[in-house]
Amino acid sequence: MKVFSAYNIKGGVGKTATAVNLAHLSSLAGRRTLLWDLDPQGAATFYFRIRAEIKGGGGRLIRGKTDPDEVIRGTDFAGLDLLPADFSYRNLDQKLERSKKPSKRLARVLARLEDEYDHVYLDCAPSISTVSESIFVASDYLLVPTIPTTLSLRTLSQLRKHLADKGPRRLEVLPFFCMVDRRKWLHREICSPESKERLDILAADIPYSSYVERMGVRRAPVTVFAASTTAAHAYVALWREIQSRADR
Amino acid sequence: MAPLPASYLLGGTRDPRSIQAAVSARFSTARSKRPRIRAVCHDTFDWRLHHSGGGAILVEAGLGDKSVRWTTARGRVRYRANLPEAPKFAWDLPQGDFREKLTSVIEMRRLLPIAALEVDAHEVRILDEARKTVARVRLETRSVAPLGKGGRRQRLPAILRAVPVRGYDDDYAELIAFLEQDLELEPHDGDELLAAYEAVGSAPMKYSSKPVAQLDPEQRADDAMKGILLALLDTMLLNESGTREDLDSEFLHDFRVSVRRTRSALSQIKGVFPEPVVLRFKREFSWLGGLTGPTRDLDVYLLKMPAYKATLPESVRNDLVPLRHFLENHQRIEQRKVARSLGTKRYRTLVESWRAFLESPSPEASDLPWATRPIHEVAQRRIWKAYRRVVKKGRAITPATEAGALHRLRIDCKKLRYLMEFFRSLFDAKSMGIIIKALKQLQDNLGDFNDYEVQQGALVKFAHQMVEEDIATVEGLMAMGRLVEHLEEGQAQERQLFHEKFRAFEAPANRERFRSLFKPSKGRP
Repeated sequence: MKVFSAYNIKGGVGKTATAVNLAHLSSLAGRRTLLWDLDPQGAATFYFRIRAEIKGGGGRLIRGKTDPDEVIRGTDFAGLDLLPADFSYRNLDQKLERSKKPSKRLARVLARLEDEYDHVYLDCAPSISTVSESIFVASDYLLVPTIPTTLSLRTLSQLRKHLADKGPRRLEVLPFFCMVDRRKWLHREICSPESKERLDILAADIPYSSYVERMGVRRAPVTVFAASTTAAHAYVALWREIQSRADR
Repeated sequence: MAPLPASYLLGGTRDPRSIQAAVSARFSTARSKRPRIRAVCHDTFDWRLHHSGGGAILVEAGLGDKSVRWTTARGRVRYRANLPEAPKFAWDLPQGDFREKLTSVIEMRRLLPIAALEVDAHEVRILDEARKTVARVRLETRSVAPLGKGGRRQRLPAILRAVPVRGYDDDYAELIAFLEQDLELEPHDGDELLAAYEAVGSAPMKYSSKPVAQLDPEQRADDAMKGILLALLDTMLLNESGTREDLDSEFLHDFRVSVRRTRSALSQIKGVFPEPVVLRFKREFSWLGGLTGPTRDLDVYLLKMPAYKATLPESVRNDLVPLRHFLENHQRIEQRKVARSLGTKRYRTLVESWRAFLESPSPEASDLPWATRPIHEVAQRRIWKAYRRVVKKGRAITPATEAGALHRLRIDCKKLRYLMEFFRSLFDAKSMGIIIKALKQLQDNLGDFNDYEVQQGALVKFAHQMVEEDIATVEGLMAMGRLVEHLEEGQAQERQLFHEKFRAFEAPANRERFRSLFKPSKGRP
C-alpha cells in the first residue's frame, strides 16, 4: 500500500483538486484506491457528493476506537472509496496531542487498511502542526502543489529543510507547479524545464483552468466530466510521472 | 459486515421494463446502459473450475487486449487481468495471486472454450438528495451460444442484480426490502454458468481417469471383466481427440493410463478370456503403449523443468534453455507421430474389434477355467497371490540388495494396486481404503526411487543427443550434470527410506486386513 499526501501549508493552491483527480486516475488504472479527506472544510467529500460526517467523530477514529471500515464510503466510481471529512477535524491537533504517540496515529489507522487498498491519497488541511507531523510519518510521498511565485518557492524550500532536519527518512517530497498561467512572464520563467530541473520540481504541471474550478458545480473529478481538456490531460501526465517515481 | 450483492432470476412472467419502471417510481434514480459484454467461458476438460465450487474463466475481447476474469458461479469477479491473448494455461498469466490460485486448481490442464456468453445490462442507479449513487440495480438480458459454426444462440432467463455501495447499507437494505417484499422477487442462489452450459448442451461431467466399476460379486468373471475393460476403453476414447491435438499433456497421460490398465488386466486375469483373444489384444495394446511412450516421457521432462530450474542457483538457471528447446522440439516430433498413428487403420481396427469383443455376449458354457466363476472368487484369488508376491519379494530386500530388485518390486506393487482398484467395490470399503493407502505410500517410495534413476539416465541420454545435434552448450551440460548429482542424492535418500516404508506396509494391522479380505479359506487352491 502506498500513501500519497497532497500537502501545502498555504491554502487555495489546489491540494483538493490534486487529491481528487489523482485518486480518480488511480482507480481508473485498476488500483484499489482510498481518498481520505482530512480537511475539516470537507471539499473533497463535497466533490464526491458524500456527507461530511463520520460516525463517532474524528477523534474516535484517530484514537483507533472506530474501525475505519465502518465509516468508509464508496464513491460513484469503481475502485475508489472515500474516508469522509468530519467537522471535528477542526481540532484534530488537540485530539492528537491528548493521545499517546501523536505522530503515529494516522499511520496506525492506515495500517488497518493495508490489505484493502493499493493507493491511499490524503487531502490535507493547510497547516503546519501536530496533524502535519502525523501526515509526514504516515506518508510515502508528499505531493506539494506549488504556485509559481517567489514566495511559494521560499515556502517550499523551508518545508524541504524542515523535513531534511526532522522528517521521516522514507518520505519523498514531490513538488509540482499548479495553477500555471503561461500568459504571465514570471510563470513562464519559473516553469521552464531548466528551472524545474534546477529547483528539483516535477516536469508535469497543472495549468490554471476554469474546468477545475467547476468541480464544485459538477461535483465530480475533472477527469470525469472534462476528460478531454488540457487540464485533465495535465493531471494524467502528473499521475504518470508520480507513478513512475513510485514504481522505482 | 458489508452486505453482499443479490441476484434475482426473472422468469418469463416478470417483465424487466416494468420492474425498472417500478424502481424508478419508488426511488430517485438515474439510468444508463452499460456496454454489451461478449465473453467466452473456459474450463478444463475435466471441469476443474466448475467442480471446485463453481466458476469459470471468462475472456472478453476489448480494444487490443483481452480482459480475462475468473468469475464465480454467481458472476462475481475473483481475479482479473489484461492479456494480449486468451490464456491457454495458468502459466500464461503474469506472476501473482491470480496465477497462483488458478494453478492450484487447474495445474497443467488447458483452458478450453465452452460457450460464448452475451450480456446486455441496463443500470438504474439509486440516488440520494445530493444525487450521489447509494445503490445500483442492474438488469441483465443474457444469451449463450455454443462455439463453432452452426451454433444457435439461446436466450437465458434475465437476471436482476442489486449491488450495494460501500457505506450505504441502510439504502441498500431499503432497496432489497422493496425488491423482495413489494415486487416479490425471489433471491436466486443457483449456478448461472451451469445453466448457460446446459443450454448449449455441454453438461459438466464428473470425469475420472480411473473409472470405478460397481461390480456384482456373483457376476461371471468374464462378464465382469468385460465391464471393467469397457469402462477403460471409454476413458481412452474420451481422451483420444485431446491427445491427437496435444491440447495439454494430461490427455495423453490419461489415454496411456487406460492402455496400461487394460494390459495389466489382460495379463493378470488368466483363464477368463480365450487365449487367442488375449494374445492378440495384448500385442495390439503393447503396440499402442509403445508408440505413446516417447511423447509422454518428453512431456514429463518438460513438466519437470520448473523444478529442475529451482534446484540450480539463480545465476545458472538459464543454462538449461538448450535442454528445454531440445525437449520441446523432440516433443513436437513425437507428438506428430502419435497423432498420425491414431489415424491409422491398425488403431481403428484395434478399437473397433476390442469394443466388439467386449460387447459380445459370453458363451453360456465355457471350458476356460475361470470364465464362469463368480468374480469375487477370481478377484480374491488374484489379489491374494499378488499380495503374497509383494510380501515375499519385499522381505528379501536388505540394505545391500541391488537396485534392480526394488524396480521389480515396484512393478509387482503396481500389479497388486491395479487389481485392488479393479475389484474395490467387491470388498469392505473402509478396509480397502486403508490398505490401498498403505500400498500407495510404499509405491510412492519405490516410484520415486525408480524415477530418480530413470531421470539420471535420461539426462545423460539427452546430453549425448544434444551434442550430436550440435545444440549443446558447455554451461548447459554442466547444469545438467548438477541436476544428475542432485537426483543421485534424492535416489539415495529414497533407498534409505524403503525399509521403514515396507515395514509400515507390512504392519500387523495391514497384514490382518489383507488376510481377512483375500486369504482363501481352507481347502481351496
